Amino acid sequence: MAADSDLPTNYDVIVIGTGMTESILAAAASRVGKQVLHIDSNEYYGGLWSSFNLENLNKWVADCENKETLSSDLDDPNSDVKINNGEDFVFLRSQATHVNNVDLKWHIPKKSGEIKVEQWSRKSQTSDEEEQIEEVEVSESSSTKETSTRTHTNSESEKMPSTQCTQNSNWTQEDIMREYRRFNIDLAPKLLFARGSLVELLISSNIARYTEFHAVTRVLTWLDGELNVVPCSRADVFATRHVSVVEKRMLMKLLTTCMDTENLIQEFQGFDTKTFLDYLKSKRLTAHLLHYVLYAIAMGTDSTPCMEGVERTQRFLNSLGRYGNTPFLWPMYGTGELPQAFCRLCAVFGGTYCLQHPAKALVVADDRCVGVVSCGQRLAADHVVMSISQAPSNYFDDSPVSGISRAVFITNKSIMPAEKEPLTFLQFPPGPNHPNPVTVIEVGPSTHACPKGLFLVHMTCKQSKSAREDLLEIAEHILTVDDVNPSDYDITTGTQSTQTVKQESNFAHSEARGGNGDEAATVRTKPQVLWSMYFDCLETSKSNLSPSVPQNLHLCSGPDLELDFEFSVHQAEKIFKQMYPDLEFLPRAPDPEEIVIEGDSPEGNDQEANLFELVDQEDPPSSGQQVIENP
Amino acid sequence: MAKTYDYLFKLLLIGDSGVGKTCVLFRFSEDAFNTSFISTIGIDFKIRTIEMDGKKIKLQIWDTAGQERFRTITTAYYRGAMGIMLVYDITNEKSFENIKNWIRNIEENASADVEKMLLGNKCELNEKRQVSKERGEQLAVEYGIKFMETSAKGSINVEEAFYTLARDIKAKTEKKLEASNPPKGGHQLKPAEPQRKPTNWLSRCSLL
Repeated sequence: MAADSDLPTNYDVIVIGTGMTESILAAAASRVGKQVLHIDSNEYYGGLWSSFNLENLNKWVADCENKETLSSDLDDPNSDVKINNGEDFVFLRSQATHVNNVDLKWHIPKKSGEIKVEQWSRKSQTSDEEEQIEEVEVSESSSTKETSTRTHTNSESEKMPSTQCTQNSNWTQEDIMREYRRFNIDLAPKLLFARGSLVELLISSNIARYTEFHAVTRVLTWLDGELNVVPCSRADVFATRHVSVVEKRMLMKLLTTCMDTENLIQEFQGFDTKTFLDYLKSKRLTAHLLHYVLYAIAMGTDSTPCMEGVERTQRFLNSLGRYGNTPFLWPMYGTGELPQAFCRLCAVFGGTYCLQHPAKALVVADDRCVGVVSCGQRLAADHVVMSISQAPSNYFDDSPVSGISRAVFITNKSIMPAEKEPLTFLQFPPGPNHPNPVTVIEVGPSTHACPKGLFLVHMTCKQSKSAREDLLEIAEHILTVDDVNPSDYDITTGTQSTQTVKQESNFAHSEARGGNGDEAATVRTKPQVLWSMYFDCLETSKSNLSPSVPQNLHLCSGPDLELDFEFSVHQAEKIFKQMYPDLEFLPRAPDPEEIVIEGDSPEGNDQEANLFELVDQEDPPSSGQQVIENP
Repeated sequence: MAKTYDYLFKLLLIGDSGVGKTCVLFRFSEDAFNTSFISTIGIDFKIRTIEMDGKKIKLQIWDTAGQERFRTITTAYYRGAMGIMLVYDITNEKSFENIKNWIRNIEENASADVEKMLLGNKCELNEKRQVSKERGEQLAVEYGIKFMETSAKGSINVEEAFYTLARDIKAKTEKKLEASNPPKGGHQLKPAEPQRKPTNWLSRCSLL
């Protein structure tokens, strides 16, 4: 591909790498009329922010393991490209060097050999059908309201009945690989605060039209050795049976105080140098409440400074009620969609895209980047934006670089099954063997993260040893991480499955009684891990750049440890202001209807339809796909 | 509130650079042909509402925004698409050969049941023709999809092609609705219409 693609050589901005910050910048520059070239050495978008199907993920793992061979390519300077006196080549690194300790493993047999198993899986399919019929009954009533609508085609997960398995059936590697395309596995799973900078930016720039989200349905925490639902709304607070009436009042009062910005200074006088924990203790919160507020709502630790804790609590509470019962949104098809949405906008405004197009070197003269060497061409631009992961090591002051430990698990059911498919955020407080909090996000098939009947569990924490050592213990709390014993798998399937069925129905029962599912937790078995992957990657958001970085070269961090995209959005905005101090950062892109083509008047009908779509919330214009407004 | 349409279909245009995808789009949505300014004003899809069997169908037709040039179409482009127009240029053999690659790309990224249709565009340039109509028909048969030769410039068959694709999607959609179980999508973030409508859902804010 690279060979036959001779690009024009001059641009306003060349962006190297399609990570989050780079993509936002590409969109922002293109939006204000700058000529943008956006290239990436990979054949996919997003770099370390990508989401992959299972097959492409395997390729990615292989690339990470072959990084030595990859980086050796970079040794040879490109002979086609000449440099002038006073110019120097600066060779770039491969992104893969930022990933370590990759550990990928199947926990289930390759294929099921026995007839027994086949019988069982057939049986399981009938029970699946029954389930589906029930679903139909439920959804019919709602669908009558929605018939006059856009029927959205997110129906992929609905098909392939032949390979469909239920939660209870015994998955094999073959079963899962057959559905490899139905996975969207994130390298950098992140949630969006409903009032966070990214949501606001997506709306204000109109890039929201390229994206879709699911609201996180619940926030869980790990308390007294089991999973607990953290009460997020007034309704939740009053529904939870873990909190007494007195505690409910205390909690409401505390949260109201944190939100009362007028009297904030008075309230927190003397706590400037203390921790949030000190403050909460001064309020005489009970142990449970303290846990909810400190570890789940503020997502803090025992050493979180007081005002930071208050800010985090405010952020959580501010985002509540905008799009759902929790403050968080999860992007459909994974976080890898988000950089692509910005790339699309860049392209719509004339940006040129070229994947599989590595930049091998920069040409630097007098503290300026005067050229980019890519595929035998020397390209030039006023500004060059690049992922930090490709920058040579002399661009950093040698500060110790911290890392992120990640794990992804494919499991056979949710960590806490619920009536409607859950989408879970869970923060493990620091413990004796893991000094850092661990963020857990569990996503299911309706987000297109995985095929029906499966769930994906993402875990993230600050790296202290390796991802596996950092996260295994936490994983064991909520998942069965041992391999499935193939012989068990074949012989005892029948009994195992009836047990599971019984448990499920018990569970449904307790739900029907209005219990909050916690009772069932005691009977429930943990989800089985079918496949797991651990890896570490560098956390570059706190890198100290050295003065040797050319003035017009702008370096963008990779995925950071925080839950949301705040860092990337702010970084992109900051860099944009350095590049174009007088221009607006991502002004709203017009809707197609607003663009009047010369000599043609837009159809009045369409405009009306559009207006309607924007303000219509009660009556979603598609089946289940809601249009949500900014209150 | 009354609906101004009964269905909303997302359609895509796919094919090599220069086959006239944007022209096809403009012919259908604006009945216009000059599109030289398109990248400067940032149009990424066009909307036209058509009527069929008494139903109003809003067609939202997306263009590739030039990302087809180096085969860098985002996977996000394919999300939620219900119909795809595969376009080649009858005066360009290569663009016809590449249809197979585009179909592979669609299979990799789009929903498995997306409706597809093959268009041989620029059929007004018969004297420069490199791909016979029969070959177009044959390829369409091979993939089990419909085929038409069109001319965005001459306004030939463009209207018919979109109606055909829309009709097939409508039939499929209604069949699905009958079987019920409409798919559950995600939420799209949309701002409120700024001035024209006051915010009346503040009450929905369930802040503690």
